[in-house]
Amino acid sequence: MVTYITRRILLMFPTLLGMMAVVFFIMKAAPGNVADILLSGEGEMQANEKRVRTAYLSRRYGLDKPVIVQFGRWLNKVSPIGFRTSSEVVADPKELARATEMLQSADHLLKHLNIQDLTSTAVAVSSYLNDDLIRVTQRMIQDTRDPMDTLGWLVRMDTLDEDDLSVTAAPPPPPAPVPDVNKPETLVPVIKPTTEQINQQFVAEVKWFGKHDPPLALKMAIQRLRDDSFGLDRILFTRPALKVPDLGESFTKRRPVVDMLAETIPITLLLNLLSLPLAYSLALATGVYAAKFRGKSFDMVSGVLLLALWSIPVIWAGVMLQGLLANKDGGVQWFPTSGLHSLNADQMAFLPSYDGDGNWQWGWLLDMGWHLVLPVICLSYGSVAFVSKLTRGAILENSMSDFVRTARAKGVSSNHVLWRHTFRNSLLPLITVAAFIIPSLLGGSVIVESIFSIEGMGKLAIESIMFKDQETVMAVTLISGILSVIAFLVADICYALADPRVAYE
Amino acid sequence: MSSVAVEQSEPTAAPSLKPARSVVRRVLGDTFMRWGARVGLAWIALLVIFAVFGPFIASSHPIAMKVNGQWESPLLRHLSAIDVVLLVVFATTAVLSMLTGIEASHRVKLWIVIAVISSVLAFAFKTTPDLVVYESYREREAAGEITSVWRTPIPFSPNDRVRDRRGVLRPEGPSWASTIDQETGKQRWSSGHVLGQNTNREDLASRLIHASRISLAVGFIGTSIAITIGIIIGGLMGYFAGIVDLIGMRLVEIFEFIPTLFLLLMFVAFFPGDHPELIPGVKIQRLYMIMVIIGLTGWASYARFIRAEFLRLRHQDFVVAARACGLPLYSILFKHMLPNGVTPILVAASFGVASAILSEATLSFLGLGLIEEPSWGQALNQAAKGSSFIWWIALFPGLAIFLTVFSYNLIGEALRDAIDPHTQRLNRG
Repeated sequence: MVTYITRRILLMFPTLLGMMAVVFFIMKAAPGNVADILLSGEGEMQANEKRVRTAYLSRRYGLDKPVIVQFGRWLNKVSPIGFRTSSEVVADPKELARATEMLQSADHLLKHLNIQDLTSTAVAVSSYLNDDLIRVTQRMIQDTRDPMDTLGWLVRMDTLDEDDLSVTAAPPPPPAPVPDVNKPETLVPVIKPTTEQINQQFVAEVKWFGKHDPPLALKMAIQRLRDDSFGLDRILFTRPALKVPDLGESFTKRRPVVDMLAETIPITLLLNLLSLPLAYSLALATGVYAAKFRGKSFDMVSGVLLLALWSIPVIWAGVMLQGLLANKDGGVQWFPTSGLHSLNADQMAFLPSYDGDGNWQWGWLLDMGWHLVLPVICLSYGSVAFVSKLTRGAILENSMSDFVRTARAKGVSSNHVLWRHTFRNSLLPLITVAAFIIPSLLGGSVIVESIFSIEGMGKLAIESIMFKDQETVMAVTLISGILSVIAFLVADICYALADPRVAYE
Repeated sequence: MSSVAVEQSEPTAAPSLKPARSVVRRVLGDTFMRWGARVGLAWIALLVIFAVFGPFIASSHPIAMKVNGQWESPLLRHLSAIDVVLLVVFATTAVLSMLTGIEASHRVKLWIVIAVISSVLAFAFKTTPDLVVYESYREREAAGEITSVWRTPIPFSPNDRVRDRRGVLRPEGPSWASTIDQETGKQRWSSGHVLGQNTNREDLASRLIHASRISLAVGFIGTSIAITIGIIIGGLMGYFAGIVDLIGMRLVEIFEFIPTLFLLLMFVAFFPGDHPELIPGVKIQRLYMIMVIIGLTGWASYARFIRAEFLRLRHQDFVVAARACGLPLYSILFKHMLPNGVTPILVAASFGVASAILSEATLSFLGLGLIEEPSWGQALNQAAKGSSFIWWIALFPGLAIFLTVFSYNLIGEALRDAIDPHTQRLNRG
């Protein structure tokens, strides 16, 4: 048994790896640049700026690397055992202090920026772009968990656009602050090369913009600092370590994916944990009843009705229930149309009670229950039909077996035979089915949550897919994959525990 | 082969005097003895008729009309190549199934030849006018230019939106405003449309009838692709067992653990547009992409079934004998083992078609499916997206999906009972 479980656990890893690879490579095979999608939210911009920002974003998220390398980096990031990256190198307090000072002086320079001494500013800023600073900045970002605080100047730089620069430069147009920017010495040693090619290309870009659009060149140099502090963290193969898995940051919402999952998973789990027991209890009752009266009218009618119930598409059931029982305009409105809470749920007491004026109020718990009725019905009716048919089949199968005949022959009452002998043995296949239901939970939740506007994992999944939010898609797949794999394993173990005849070698 | 098959499925049967029938034939025969399967089959036959004769049932083009004393048929002129191919294939199938004199394998070959030739000819030569102005028929009829006209039973094409704007063109006719209730601002039931209009003021019945073609195609082709992949992978796994099985099972698990809907959504969302590029350099129509994707994501369960069957069969005498004769691998796998292990696939396929149809409907419902073509899920999407609940837009498309899925499930259930003699015994009580 132990050998079997160990084997199963070991086999889980290639399966999970394969799942993630399938999802990752489908995303990467898709046409369209992720950077473009990210930029689409930032409104109109000029071709030059768009190009620069696209290049910047691809570098920041490592999208310019080969797909297989990207996948490897992602795996390293989520794995609890992996290699450290250059952004995780520890800095001492002295270094931190120096970095703060340097950042402040850079900030000062940037504030008093005008176009005449643009080149000197560029040089000044670039001179800070040394190895130490990059490392320390990264450390600071890590320590505070809020890069925007520490790197306020970087943010300001990000919002500083060409208009601001040209206002200070007005009225005379900039003469030609090109020559210094053009000199490779001022920029080349500044840029920490990751690969020679990227570096050369970057230098070429900066040179070109230095000639045509100096402010943009400066901006690029500073963005480069951001690149180095956020995105271009190199994997240090010399430092394997145990670490906290990092699911990354959502592209579209600019939030850690873990936070988003922590908000949504409880909601989806709540929905499913309510509907599964409901479905199972209803299904067991009808299944046993149908098997008891097999061939009779109840069995016939319930058989057809359950098949029909199973065939009702969730999308239709959701729309009809919403339209018929939660109709906002004019129709019957017994249930709320969408969401999990009423608008004023924050002010409610937890349990139903009388408030100060003696008015009855439902309270937070009942309010949520009221909101949950329709979604839970939508999620569970399919499983009711499915499990019920299975129960009926299993009970019929067992009622033919020898031990049931023996029990009857001994004169055990028929109800006792049904519940103590047949039913308990019939539960075995239901254990396996419970595991198979887990992967379909997320699928079902996707539809139900999007119909009823519930902010659960299913809705998160569909939104992240629609916005091509790579990190979130991967995280949701990983979570649902792990859930499914564990469910299968637990089902196997339960099966062995419940049925002593099953022996895994 | 067929005698072996019969022995396989009925090991206890005494030698019978009846001529040997293949397992599939016997199972299908038993299945369609049951009323559930018959009801299901009837609905699907109706859908097939809708799919084939859709343009003749619902179209804004008159079947025939008399202009300036001359009869012409705009409907025939506007038939697309696919319409023509479907009609030819349907006619061929009908005729060939009646010609019992010819041997079955010859009939299948003949059918394939005719289907291929007709599609090549139709796509090469059948052209349709680019510009379609449905309103022109009604205008010309009102102007007295068209003296007599023979329309289809539902005289609206699925994308004929202009009907209720004729108030603009002809002041005496009902205007767009008349379809909106003045008091509540809700869309009103518009008379003259069997199942009402959708929110774009297109005829709902017409759209549903034309969408049946897409649903059937997605169901059949998507499932066929899935079964083909499943049989090949599952067959190899079951035949070779050992390390091939171990690796194959991981592959199966991978596709079982990722929720199918999730994978589908990802493909569809990441390859947008009318002609997405699934493989670099190859652009295919969105409908075909959805079929391919349903096939690519749904094969795992078929592979599991086939693997189990083949693991059971691989040490049986007839397989050992085939191997000893030095038959090539594909012959052992697909000519000897497959016919004996195919029955569980039949049940799974029936449920599979149902779930493929559901998948397409769900994709369209979420706004990720077909863009221009009518589809049941898309119609349901309108009901969900609209500002108010319009019962006919929600009811009829959903009913169509439900009835189709129910039909396939009824057939699947009947197949299961027919295949498994054990259940037959149990059901009789």
